[in-house]
Amino acid sequence: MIELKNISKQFDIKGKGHKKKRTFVAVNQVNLTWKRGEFISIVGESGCGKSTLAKIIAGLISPSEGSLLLDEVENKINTQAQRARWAKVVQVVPQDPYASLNPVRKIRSSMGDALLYHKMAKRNELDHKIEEMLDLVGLNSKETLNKYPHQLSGGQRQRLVIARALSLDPDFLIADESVSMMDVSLRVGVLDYFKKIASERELGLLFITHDFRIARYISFDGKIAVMYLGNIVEFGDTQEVLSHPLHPYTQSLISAVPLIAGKERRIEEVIPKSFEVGKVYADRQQCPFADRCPFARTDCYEQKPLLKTYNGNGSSSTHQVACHYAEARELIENV
Amino acid sequence: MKWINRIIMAILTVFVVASLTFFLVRLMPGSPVQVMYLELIQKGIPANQAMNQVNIILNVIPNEPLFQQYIHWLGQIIHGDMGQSIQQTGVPVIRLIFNALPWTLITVAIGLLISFFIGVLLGVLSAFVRERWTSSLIDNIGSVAHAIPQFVTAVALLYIFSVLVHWFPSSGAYSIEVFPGFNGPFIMSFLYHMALPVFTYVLTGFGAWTLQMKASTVSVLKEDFMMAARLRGLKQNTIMGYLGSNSILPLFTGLMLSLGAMFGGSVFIEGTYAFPGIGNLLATAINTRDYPVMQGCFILTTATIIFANLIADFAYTKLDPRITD
Repeated sequence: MIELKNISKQFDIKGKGHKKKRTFVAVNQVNLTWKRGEFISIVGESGCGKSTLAKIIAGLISPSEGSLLLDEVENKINTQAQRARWAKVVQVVPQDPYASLNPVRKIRSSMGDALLYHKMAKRNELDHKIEEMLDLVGLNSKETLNKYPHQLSGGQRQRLVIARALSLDPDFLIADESVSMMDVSLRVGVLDYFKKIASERELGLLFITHDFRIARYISFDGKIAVMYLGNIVEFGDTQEVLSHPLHPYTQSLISAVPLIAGKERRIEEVIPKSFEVGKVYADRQQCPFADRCPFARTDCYEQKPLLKTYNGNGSSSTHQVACHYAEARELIENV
Repeated sequence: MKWINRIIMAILTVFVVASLTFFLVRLMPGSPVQVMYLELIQKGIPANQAMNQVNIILNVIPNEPLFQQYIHWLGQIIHGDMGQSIQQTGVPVIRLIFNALPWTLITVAIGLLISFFIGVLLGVLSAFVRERWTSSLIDNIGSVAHAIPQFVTAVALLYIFSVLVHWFPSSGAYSIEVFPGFNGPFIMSFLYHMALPVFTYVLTGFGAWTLQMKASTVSVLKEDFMMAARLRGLKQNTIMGYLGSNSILPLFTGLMLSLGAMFGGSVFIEGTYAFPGIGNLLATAINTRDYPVMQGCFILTTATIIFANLIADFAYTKLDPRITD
């Protein structure tokens, strides 16, 4: 179980001339519990801090505040030994498989370096071990081993980086926008593959996406977290959040998804006041969505709402929302 | 097959450049025949006799049309004969070049490799500390060192180390007390004499490599595969290997071209230190309008640059698997 306790990440923005130096909050006071075998989707628009959060969990950047707990033990990733240990706990399937393979090395060494370093394979059995990995994701192992990344197709590379992430036998897998670069026709196959492999190995799967439909598909039985400007504004069971969204931001996102079939029910339209993503700096004490929120009142600008469990209209107790005036919108029938 | 075509093209290019230089050097004002002819006339020798004497001394056919001279030269060059020097009468150009080439080759090769090594190290360092003042310090030192012309650096070093503190000799490639050959005293003397020229090559050369290496390293550092390598918990040495093998690729062509240019030597550096290399030979030949020597030097420089480029292209297909031949 990985727990995030009040994780924040701030970046200093250099000021020039009369503009003073400001601090940009990429991730703000995030609490999240992620069990083995649990599927969580993190949804948010570009720049909301979801990739920064993924990098913190993966140990690539250290948080400015807060702590990262593994099985209730505080975990720091500073030394090489700690990083190497963490690599066997959490792995990431990156967004762009081509860019994340070293172009001048053959697949054999791209795959093999980590196995050798972590002593998960001896040198004489390395080829055999890599071939097993490649067979697992349905690649022709004999042919692939001696190829360079540019000689593979997009789909093959995607499967290869999944195989590479799984080769260290992690307990948790983060997929950072892993299908956003793919053709729509290939997406479902890869998503199914993620679900299958994660269920088989009882992996925790954290799927980062900007697309509610992908989030719903991946974590249908899991959880969904909606991020806005570094804050988790809504968190709960996927079906609950999608059918009864409470935060105005989630509501506006869901009501913006176009309907094709015409049979689904949808919530009434919530249109934000502006379509520009704001910026929240450390010195402001307001609701991050207040500038765009169509329901904002004065205290939204004065006090920042915290993520609290919502108990209105008999919804489940795991549904959390960060809004002073959270309420379910009326459902309207789409005819 | 493709490479055979490229080699034929390269030979053709060298031939065209050599032909162009044949005409270009003869367009320069001042002809050696004219100079010597006027000298003899001034000594009171009749015009007719003076012309004969010039023709015999310089071994040229008088008033031969330029095109005839070109055909004549073409016949020579096909047989691998670059002709004879005009000023050092009767000495074949090939021999002059082969006497001068080793000096240039050794000094420039050492200078180039040292400057490449220093430049690459500083470039990587600068890329790693790119958000700190150290990085802009390295970049600025590199730019300034690269921007100062070779002859200024050469004269400055000569003045400081040879005139002010007498640490290094001011001219020549070896001391007159030693005999050229493979013996200890000669090699020591040669190393001692080439210190200042090599230092000049390094000082004027490393800046460009530093800036190129920094730009290249910074872009590789941002690549996803570097992040993916850290993600897999690989040790620092492996990650540096990933970085190095990718960021040094763009510098490779530049290095090969510089190795090619090396055969030309540096007119300025060799001139300043009176170093008996190709650069000095060329400078003297230009000053005395020694056409065959000039042409010989130009053909050598052109050919080496063109073939170095060809080798670079070929080697690149081996170094970078993304480029196919």
